[in-house]
Amino acid sequence: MFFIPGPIIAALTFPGVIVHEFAHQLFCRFFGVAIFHVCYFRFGNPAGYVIHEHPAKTSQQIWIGVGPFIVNSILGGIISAPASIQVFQFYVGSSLDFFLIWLGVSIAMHDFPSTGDAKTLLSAISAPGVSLAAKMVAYPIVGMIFLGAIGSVFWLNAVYSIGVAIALPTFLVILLA
Amino acid sequence: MLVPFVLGIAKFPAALAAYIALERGQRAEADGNFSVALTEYTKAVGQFPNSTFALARKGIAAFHAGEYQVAEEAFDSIDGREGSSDIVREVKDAMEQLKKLRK
Repeated sequence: MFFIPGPIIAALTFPGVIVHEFAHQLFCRFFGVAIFHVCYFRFGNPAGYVIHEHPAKTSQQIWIGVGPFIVNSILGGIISAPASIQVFQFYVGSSLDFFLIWLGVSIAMHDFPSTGDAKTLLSAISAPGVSLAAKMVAYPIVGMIFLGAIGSVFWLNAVYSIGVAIALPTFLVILLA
Repeated sequence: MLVPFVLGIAKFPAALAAYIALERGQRAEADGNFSVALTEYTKAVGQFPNSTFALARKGIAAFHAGEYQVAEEAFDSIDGREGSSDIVREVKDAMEQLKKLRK
């Protein structure tokens, strides 16, 4: 299998890392969770991080954890889809279109919450006093995050990002045409 | 990040509409409904006037719909451009038949 070290992928797709951390920050702000430090990008592991206070509710922790999946997917799709239609369906594309495809794919590629996010979520829901309902919602999410992280080794995030950029418009056309 | 996002939002509806028109055109063409195909391809070309593929499909649909003037204009606009071997063959066939009809 074709293996590229994570820091190199992060560097090549750095806009996605920035948006990923921004998404965590956005959801922290939305829930009024204090942020102590944000690193949008660095050459290292992790490539970016947000240090914030412990949210008051488990649901807030879940939203903060999965925030990048929502924000990166939407942002990546909107940025790359028009350009990918132009390039892959009409076979016309300027350098700007190729740049937008790279940008959109890079952003969508970092939409999977990291294992760090999963561990934070796991410790939050494992704490005493967390309701059974919250645990029933959160444990499958944590499981999916870990599965996504395992899948990333097999390029699952890359496949997903290309899907968001190229397959999403095709899917919409199949529905609407 | 805001500029590409705004650019994407601004371009997405028109690009999607053109893609839908292209898809509808191809479906109509496959069903032998060439006048509908021509209408749809004209919409797609309106959005991406430099697309060799869309212009070629428009020309081919126009030829089969009996709109020879439209077909000729579409073929003239892509004259000398490169395309996939299948579409080049289709365009060449249509152009040859057009020439015969003109004679």
